[in-house]
Parts: sequence; structure tokens; C-alpha cells
Amino acid sequence: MLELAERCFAFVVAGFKQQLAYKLDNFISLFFKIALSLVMIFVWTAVFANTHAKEIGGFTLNSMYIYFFIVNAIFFISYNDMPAYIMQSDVKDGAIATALIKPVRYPLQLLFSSIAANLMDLVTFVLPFLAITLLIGGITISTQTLVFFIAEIILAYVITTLFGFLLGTLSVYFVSIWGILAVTNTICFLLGGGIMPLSIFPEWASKILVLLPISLSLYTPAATLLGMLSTQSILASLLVGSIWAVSLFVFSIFWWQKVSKRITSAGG
Amino acid sequence: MEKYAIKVKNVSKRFKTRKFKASSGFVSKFFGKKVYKNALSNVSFTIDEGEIVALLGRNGSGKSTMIKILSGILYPDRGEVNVLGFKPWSERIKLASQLGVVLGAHGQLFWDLPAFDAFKFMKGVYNIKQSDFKDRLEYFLDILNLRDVYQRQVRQLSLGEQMKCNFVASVLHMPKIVFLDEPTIGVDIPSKTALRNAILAMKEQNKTTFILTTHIVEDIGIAERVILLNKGKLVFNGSRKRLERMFGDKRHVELHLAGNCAIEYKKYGKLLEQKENLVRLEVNKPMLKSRSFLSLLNSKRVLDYRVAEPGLNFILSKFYEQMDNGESKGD
Repeated sequence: MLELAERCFAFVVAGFKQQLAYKLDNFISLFFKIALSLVMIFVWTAVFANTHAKEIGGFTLNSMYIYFFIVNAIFFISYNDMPAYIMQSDVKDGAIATALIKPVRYPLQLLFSSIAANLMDLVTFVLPFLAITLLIGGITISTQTLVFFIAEIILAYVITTLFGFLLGTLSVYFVSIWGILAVTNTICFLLGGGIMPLSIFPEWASKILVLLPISLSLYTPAATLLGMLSTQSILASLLVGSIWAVSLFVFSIFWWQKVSKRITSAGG
Repeated sequence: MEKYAIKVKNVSKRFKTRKFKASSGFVSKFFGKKVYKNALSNVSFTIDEGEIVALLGRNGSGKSTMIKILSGILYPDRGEVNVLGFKPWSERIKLASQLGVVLGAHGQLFWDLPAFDAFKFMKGVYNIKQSDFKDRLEYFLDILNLRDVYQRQVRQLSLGEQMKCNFVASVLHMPKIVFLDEPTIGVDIPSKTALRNAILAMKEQNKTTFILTTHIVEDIGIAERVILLNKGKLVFNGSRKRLERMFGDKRHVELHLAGNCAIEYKKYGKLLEQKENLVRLEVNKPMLKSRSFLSLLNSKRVLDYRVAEPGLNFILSKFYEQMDNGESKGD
């Protein structure tokens, strides 16, 4: 077990080093990450101004600002599509052959390689940005809320990693899946509450959406921090998310056994 | 009792691809004809522990497919494979720690990081003890002349330097079997020699088995045995010496002629090359002792001459030529 931990840790360390290879690029991408929330701020300021509404879907303009700052921060750790991108690249350039001959299962390699990038985002962007948002927003959070929030983020990470892995396996069939990823990411961002909070959707739609795992990666944790969800609905979300995580995990094992037989890489 | 490092029995593998007409229009580019290609057909061989074997063949002959099946990356359609007591494709993770694979120039390296980071990565992935890691790294850095190289970003290294670093990364865990795909491509002559010496030293000291696929004749020189594949079929499996002897009745004669003089080469053998006053002929061995040929060599028309045994390049070309003509020299 210790040996496996050491092997997996090697992937995290290598991932970290690769992230740090281009420091200026990392620094500049920080501004891009901040700019993303500003786009939504401008959009919603315009919406509030034009509708003259004081509240939309339970959100005032101020709470909408905070919602989008939180969503934008947690997105970088709660939505992990890196396994799909890494796998697509490995299949395309034949590097999957080298990866498969390592004494660590390929899905684990994908997980630990992406953990490095996500941890990097957590330290350099998510935590500072989230702390500043909560401080400026004057939001105090109880220990219970913090525990729920962390549980939701971890569960969302597990679900989206498994989902990213399953999407990545499509590259074994279609090689280039950039278009598929662009479409799924956009849908997930929309249905997860990345463009508008789920409470704004019609009631029947939001009831369906909270049953989907994607709400756990954006809307649910942000609404939890803002104190907009009851303990009962948070626990229900965690239960639904856990069922999704277990189902995706079981399906991923079955699916990988099937897909790995189809793998061919450069040169036959 | 039989003790093989690798045993392959009646292995076949077929790939499904799509064939597109070169002259077809835009729409038909979407609907290529489904074709099946036999990458391997009923291939059987064994490789002993500590043996160096050259797996040869033209492009598309099935070499890479065979290496990928042996390392567990690909599943064969039919046949049995045993590598160090494991079935590679179903016990890949168990087998992986005992295999080293050198595919391409920088397969094991990280493009944006120094080679040293890849070595450290391998240390973690293969659970190499710190003392072993240090000793082995020192050894390889010295014999492959990598001291000034291994701390530089891989993308800044020359192809040869990348190849050498990739080799080190692939063998740091001292695998029992190493698959080498074109290990000396782009490597300078002293480094080629160093790489070959490193391979021979690993074989001597650790009884490491090497399977080498290459088109570079000098690399084949270190192999004790040659396995030749042609269109997915095994066409030769025997010692290098035996392969060389198969066309042992031929000799290459290089003649330096005195100016433009007309010689009827046909009656001596086959004209291989003619450049100004330099002529290369392929002749049968008995011809060298024939009166007519000796008199040509001693005549004033020939200023100098050189007789040599045909190299492996020539032998392999001859072999492929015979394969194309439907003749087989296999076991």
C-alpha cells in the first residue's frame, strides 16, 4: 500500500513541477481567472438594472456578486475535466503506450496528474480569492457550513473526475474529442449554476437539476456558503451525489476493462 | 525444464482501418472503405533470459505490434504469450515493474522539465531505493556522458541527448526485460558506442534481456539472435552469424579504374554502383579465383581494388527482395 502511495505521489510531484515550469504564464492566467467573474458581474448588473428588480431567484444584486465570485473560485477545484484532456492528448500522440507500461493503473495516473494542477489552483487562486470574497462580502460561516462545503467540493471533485475520465475514453474511439468536451463543459457550466443560479430556473427544472451531480460542483457549494440551503437539502444533495459517485465509479471500472482492449497507439 | 524470459506461441493480431481513395472527393473522405490488416500471423518464438535479440523487419512488418503485445499494451486476437511467467495484457501492472521500454526519443521524459525530474519521477514510480538510485544514476551519467545535460530542460536537448536520457529513465529500475525501439537514432558515434556498451554491461551484470527493434545495422551487431518479420509473419529466427552466412557466397568488389575504359562487367557479376572511375560489383565467391577476373584485377585498367564481405544492410535487402519474390529462408 505504501509502495502504491509513493508511486501515485510521484505523479503529483511531477504534475506540480510541470505546472511551475512556466511561471509567467501561471501568473498571467491568474488575471484571466479573476476576469472570468467580472464578466458575470457586468452581465448581472445589467440584468438588475434593466429589470429594476430588487431580487431575482432569491438573490439581491450584492448576493449575486458574491455568488459568482464564489462559483468562479470553486470552479477550478470542483470541476475536474483534466483526465479527459490528458487522455485525448495521450491517445493522439501515442504517449498512452508509455503510460500503460508504468506500474500504476492508467486511471490512477490521470487522477494524480490532475490533482497536482488542482492543488496548484487551490493554493494560488481558490483559497485567497474565496477568503477575500467572504471577507468583503461580510459572510461568516459556521463550522457545520464549512464541513458541508468541503464535503460537497470533495464529492463534486470525485464525480467530475470520473465523468472526465469517461469522456476521455471516447478518444480511444474518436481520437479528437475537443468538440465533445467543449459542448459537455458548456452544458455542465450552464446546468451547474455557472451562468445563473439554479433557483432562477423554473421550479420543475431546478428540481430536476439538483438531482444531477453537476449542481454539486457549482450551485450547491456556493449556495451553502451563502446560507441559502437548509440542512435537509444539503444532506439530500450529498446523498444524491454519493449515489452518482458510486454509480460512476462502478461503471468506470466496467467501461475501462472494455475500452482498454481497444487501445491502439501509433505504429499499431 | 524450459526457462524462457519470453514465450510466444501462434500469436495473431488484426487491425481494422479505413482506406480512402486518393482521388476521391470531399464527401467520400468521410466514408473510407473498411479494411482489415493482419499485423501478426501465427508468430511463435522464445527468448532466453539474458539474451539480446534484434527484432527486424520493414516498416509495417509487425515489430511494434509485437513489442506492444509483449509489454501488455495490446491484446492479441489469438495465441499465447508468457513474459516472465505473466500473461502481459491481463497482468500488466505486475509485469510493468520488471519491464523497461524505450519508445521514441523522449517517451519517458517531461518535455518542459529537466531530465533529472524524469529520473526522480521514475524513482518514485518504480520504488527505487535512494542509494540504488544514486549509484545507478552516477553510473549512467558517466558512461553516457550526460553530466552537462541532465539538468537542462528536455526541449532544449538535442535528439541524441534526449535518446540517452530516455534510455536512462527507462532502465533506472533495472528491469529484467528491456524493449528498445530504435535506441540510437540521432545519437552521435561515441554515444552510440556508449549506449551499446551500457546494454552489454547490463546484460553481463544483471542478465537483462534486450529486445531491439532497429533499422541501424551497427545496432544489430550487439544482438546474438535475429528474429525477422515480414508482413506479420516470422520469416527468420536464428543467430546473426547464420543470417550473414545465408548470402555468404557473395562478395563486393570495389574497383578503381584508370580513366574511362570499357569493361564488360556482366560476365563477372552484378554492377551495383558506378561513379566516375569507381565501380562496385557483386560477384560470386568462386569468381574471385577465376582466371578472367584475376587477369582483370592485375591489368593496367585497374589501379586498385578492394574485396569485402557483404554487410548486414545488403543481406537484409537481399532477404526482403527474396520475400517479395515469394521465396522463404525461415526456420
